[in-house]
Amino acid sequence: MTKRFYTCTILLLLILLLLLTACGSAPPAPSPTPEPAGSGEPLYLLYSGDTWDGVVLQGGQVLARGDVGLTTDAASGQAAGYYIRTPVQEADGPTYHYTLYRPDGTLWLDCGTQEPSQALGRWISLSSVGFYEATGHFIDPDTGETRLDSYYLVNETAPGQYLLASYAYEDPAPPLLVDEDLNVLTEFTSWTYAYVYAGDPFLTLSRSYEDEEGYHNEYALYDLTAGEFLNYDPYDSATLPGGYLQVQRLSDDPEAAPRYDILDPDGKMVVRNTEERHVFYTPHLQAVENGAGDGITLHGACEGEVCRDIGMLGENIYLLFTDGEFRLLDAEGHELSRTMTHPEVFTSATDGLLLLEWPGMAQLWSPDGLLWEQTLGDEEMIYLSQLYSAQGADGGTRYRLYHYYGTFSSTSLLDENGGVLLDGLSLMYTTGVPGVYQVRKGFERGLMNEAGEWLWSESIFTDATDEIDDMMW
Amino acid sequence: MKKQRRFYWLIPLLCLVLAVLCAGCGGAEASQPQPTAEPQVTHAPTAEPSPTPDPDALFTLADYPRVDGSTANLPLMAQVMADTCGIPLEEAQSYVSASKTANSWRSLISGYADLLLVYEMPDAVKEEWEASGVELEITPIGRDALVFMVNEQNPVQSLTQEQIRSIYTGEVTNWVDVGGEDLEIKAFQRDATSGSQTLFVKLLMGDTPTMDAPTELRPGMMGALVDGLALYNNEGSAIGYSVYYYINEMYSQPGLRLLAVDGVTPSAESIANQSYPLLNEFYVAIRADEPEDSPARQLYNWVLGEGGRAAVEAGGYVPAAPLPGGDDPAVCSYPLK
Repeated sequence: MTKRFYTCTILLLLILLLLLTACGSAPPAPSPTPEPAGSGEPLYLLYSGDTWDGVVLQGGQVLARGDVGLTTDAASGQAAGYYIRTPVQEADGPTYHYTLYRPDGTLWLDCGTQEPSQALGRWISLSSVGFYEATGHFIDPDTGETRLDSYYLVNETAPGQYLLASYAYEDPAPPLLVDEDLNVLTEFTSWTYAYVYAGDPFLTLSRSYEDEEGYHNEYALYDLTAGEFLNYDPYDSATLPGGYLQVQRLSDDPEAAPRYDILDPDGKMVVRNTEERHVFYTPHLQAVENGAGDGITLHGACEGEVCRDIGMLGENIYLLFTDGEFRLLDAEGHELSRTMTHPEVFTSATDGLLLLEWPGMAQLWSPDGLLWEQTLGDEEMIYLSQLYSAQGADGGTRYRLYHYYGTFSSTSLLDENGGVLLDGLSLMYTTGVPGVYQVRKGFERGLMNEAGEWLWSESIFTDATDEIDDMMW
Repeated sequence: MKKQRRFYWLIPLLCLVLAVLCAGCGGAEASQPQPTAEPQVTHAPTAEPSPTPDPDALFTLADYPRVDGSTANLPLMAQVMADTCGIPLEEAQSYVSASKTANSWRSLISGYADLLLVYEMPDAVKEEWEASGVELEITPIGRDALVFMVNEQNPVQSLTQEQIRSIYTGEVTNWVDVGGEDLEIKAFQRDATSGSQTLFVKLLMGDTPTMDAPTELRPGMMGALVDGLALYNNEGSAIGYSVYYYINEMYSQPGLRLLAVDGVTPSAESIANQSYPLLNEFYVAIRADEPEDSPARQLYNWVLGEGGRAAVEAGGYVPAAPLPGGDDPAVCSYPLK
């Protein structure tokens, strides 16, 4: 071996030694400043069970407690900030002062005596509603710019499009359709009031006037998709189970019998100018209301039969007859099952689950059939409702099952298949955040996920009024 | 030979490069941003599947009587329901509710409640009751204490009843007059119809008029009272009162301390042996015309039996009466008329 060989070997060994110690001994670089706990997390507002005071939470931290509220962004549906309301004495009498904060706790806007009810992009909608006067406007807290005095946000009519109406009690300004930056898209000149439910394709307009013949109210239906007025009475138009819309034609003859059109979900007319008032419509099965409330006559798949109730259960159809017979059909009207219940049976119907209940018994049905049945005591009742404002953690539909024992009650959360996710709750409210609910269970209240884990909780006695009896509740 | 030389020098060079890279990796791990702390997730107790109703249970949930009462008796209501219906305690805790002292008495008198677990009837309700002509059966089942709380920094450990009265009449306004520091006394009071206020008047003030308190010293919520008691600075230091069970079992907060009264510190022991001076019972009550076989009467009898006493003790309360052969002194029944 040469001298160089030994030299290289020693160097190699030294380097190997360096390799073995390098990873373990390198001093950690300083951590960057950690994000504030909960930043970017949604804001939650929980109400005390004992008072109307609330708790604003973010990421498990209490941001504010007391007379508080959230300012929700109409575009995202999430809270943009929170406000604290404090009683003040003004020259006109007692009122409230509102202060709006960003989720990081910094002051966003001193709102004075106007409530920051909603946010829309960079705008905050401020309002003050009293018995004799209502005021409001939109303000950009960062620039101080204000717009649209006396307007408030009614609802979102389409992504990026919003309906505004005027607060003014006398000579209200016309309703407007605006974009997210409050640029006016449509002005409903000569109309004074407008309303739309979120997701509906039509909005309702109204106005009042007085002439020598007296006081008059007029209504109109406006197609948001087509951008045109429809010649229908908005107060006798209804979405039928199955997604079809039945509209009543306007008539100049007040003595004439009502006549209807039925539109499919795309707005195409499928039934034209009929005197029959439908309560259900699908291409394979239709149901028409009999005169004097004398049942519902079926056409199509069950031609001529008269039932008591009809509706959709998922993609299937259910029928309930006067003698208590319960029938499940597929979307094309083919019978899937037939069961006898009870003549006094009543229903709690939702889009995906159906509760049948009669004295002493309750049954829960899904589109696939009977899920369970349960005997009930004399004072017991069960009620099923769909949580339209909530989504499950998996994006699925959620339902509330309310069990009333006569002197107390229990609430359960069900998934879209009727499976029990949460049980034994005193209270349950949706929070607007998928899969998170405000609950009371035992002597704890707070936020719970669908796995039954507390995300935040406190004792129900934390702000109990401890024997104060001067409240109605 | 030349080829061997180049080979030999290449190996340590490659190893050196690897060593540098390795040292860099160890440091880079440390420089990655620390993950944002996950919110604390507390796992709720695994919910038991709804148990098969206990065939030996006194009641089913459907025939359980309408029970009402005071906030401080909510844990007892839950224990009684759990024991008599054969359900888990947490489930019973979800079901129980309290209209609070005054309204629960009113509910019993008017028939909207069947049985109460409740504290002293406020004077205003006594007048309503006497006017109603409804007869009630009322029996003490537990004992609680009127307790006074101060900020834990307050050096005052004990006050006599006379000193407390002097504070609440406004005669004494500075802690230095009762052995404390030179700080203004902020004497919190409660609403006139609250259970705590009823005991405060009955056990301590009697006919002695209490000074008027500004709104901020009449908090509606325990949180506001505690916030006031948390104050200990040049602006003053507060004193407030509530019932022992509530403060000790239901809403304990750091920073508060219970005062001894006449040298006796409130505790379960001093309440049980009646050495603490400001004591009062709480009660079980039904309408006197409840039939023998009614659920309310059955529950009333159960509460007054061994099962009820066990429930009182299990709930952390001090029983009002000893079991036969026990060492506790006998409780005196409370005449409400």
